[in-house]
Amino acid sequence: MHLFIRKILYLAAAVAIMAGCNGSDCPLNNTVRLVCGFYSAGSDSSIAISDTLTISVRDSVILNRSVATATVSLPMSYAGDADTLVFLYTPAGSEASCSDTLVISKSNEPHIVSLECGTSVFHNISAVSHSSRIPDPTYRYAIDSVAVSNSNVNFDGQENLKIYYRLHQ
Amino acid sequence: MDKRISRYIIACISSLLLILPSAHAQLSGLRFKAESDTLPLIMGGQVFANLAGAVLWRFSDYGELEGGARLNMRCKYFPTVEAGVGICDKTNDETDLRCKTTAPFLRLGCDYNFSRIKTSPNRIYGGIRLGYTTYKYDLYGPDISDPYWQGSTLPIRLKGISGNALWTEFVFGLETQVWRHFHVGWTARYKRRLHQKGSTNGNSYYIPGYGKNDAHLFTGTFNLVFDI
Repeated sequence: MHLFIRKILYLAAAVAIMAGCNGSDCPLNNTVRLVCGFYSAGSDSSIAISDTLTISVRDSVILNRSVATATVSLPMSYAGDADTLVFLYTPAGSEASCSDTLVISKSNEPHIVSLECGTSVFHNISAVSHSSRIPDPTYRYAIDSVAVSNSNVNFDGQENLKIYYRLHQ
Repeated sequence: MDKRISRYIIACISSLLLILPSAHAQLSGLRFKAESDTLPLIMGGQVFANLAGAVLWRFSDYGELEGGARLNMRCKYFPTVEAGVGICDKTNDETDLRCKTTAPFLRLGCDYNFSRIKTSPNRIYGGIRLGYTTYKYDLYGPDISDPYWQGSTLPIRLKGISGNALWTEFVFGLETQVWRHFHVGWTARYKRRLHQKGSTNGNSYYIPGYGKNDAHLFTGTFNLVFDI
């Protein structure tokens, strides 16, 4: 009987040790970003904007003075139904700037990976609109159109928007 | 001389005392083995309650109130049904996120008695279970403050999210008779989640009847068992 009880204790200890070996499920890439790629309106080929690009939202600058930019990864608002992004282009050697405005309508879904990992906010893009402008020799880039390539904004890092630019030749 | 004879007799008696129990056990084994082949198909049944699940529920963030019944077929096979209610109210200390659920679950399966002497009231079990639950859960958390859109917050109050889960369990258990029809026993269980439906908002921290919502885990039960 003593042997029987000892076996029970050994097995219970083994089970308790094995039960303690649980890893964390927190994803390594846990940043939600809207990924935008820049393309030429005529050829559908990727371009890098040579002007200094600054993108701002209501209270904050979310991209500051980026040069030779082909893609951008931007945060989205947690609670708003639509985000208004102002793209500010500053040509090289110039103090003056001009801007385009992009309005992205979307839903906001709180996402809890697990109680240990905290909370993120996923989004689903429903519509995109933009301002209209004609490029000129000084400000050579103007948004022509925007296509939604992946409406789900989450951890996966895939491109969400294709922003097509009309270029001044 | 007398001393030597008496020492010889004591040695013989001691040897017999050592040999007799093992010989008796071997004979009993043969007798029981022969009996198990001629036992009736249905030998009664048992009902049981899991004490460990109730203690866990009382003293930790989650647990189960569960019981079950099993049929005794020739003291070899024990088709088993287990059912209960899984309860969870867990708040993470670091993130302040909270998950709450209370839902029923059902497990069906069969145990096999590995004991050499099948009719012995002390049994060693191995078995499998298939478990299923459908449940609703709530997720709460502190409002999320937006770092870029100042003053904007998103509340986390997700109530009544629907989920279901299917899993399998590999069971090893021991059971011993305490008094007449009353037994106690425990089982160690390796559980593997086969299917889970949750929400894009997040899955439940706990699956009723399964345990913490990991792909696989080890758990155990401590059963109070009564023969019927």
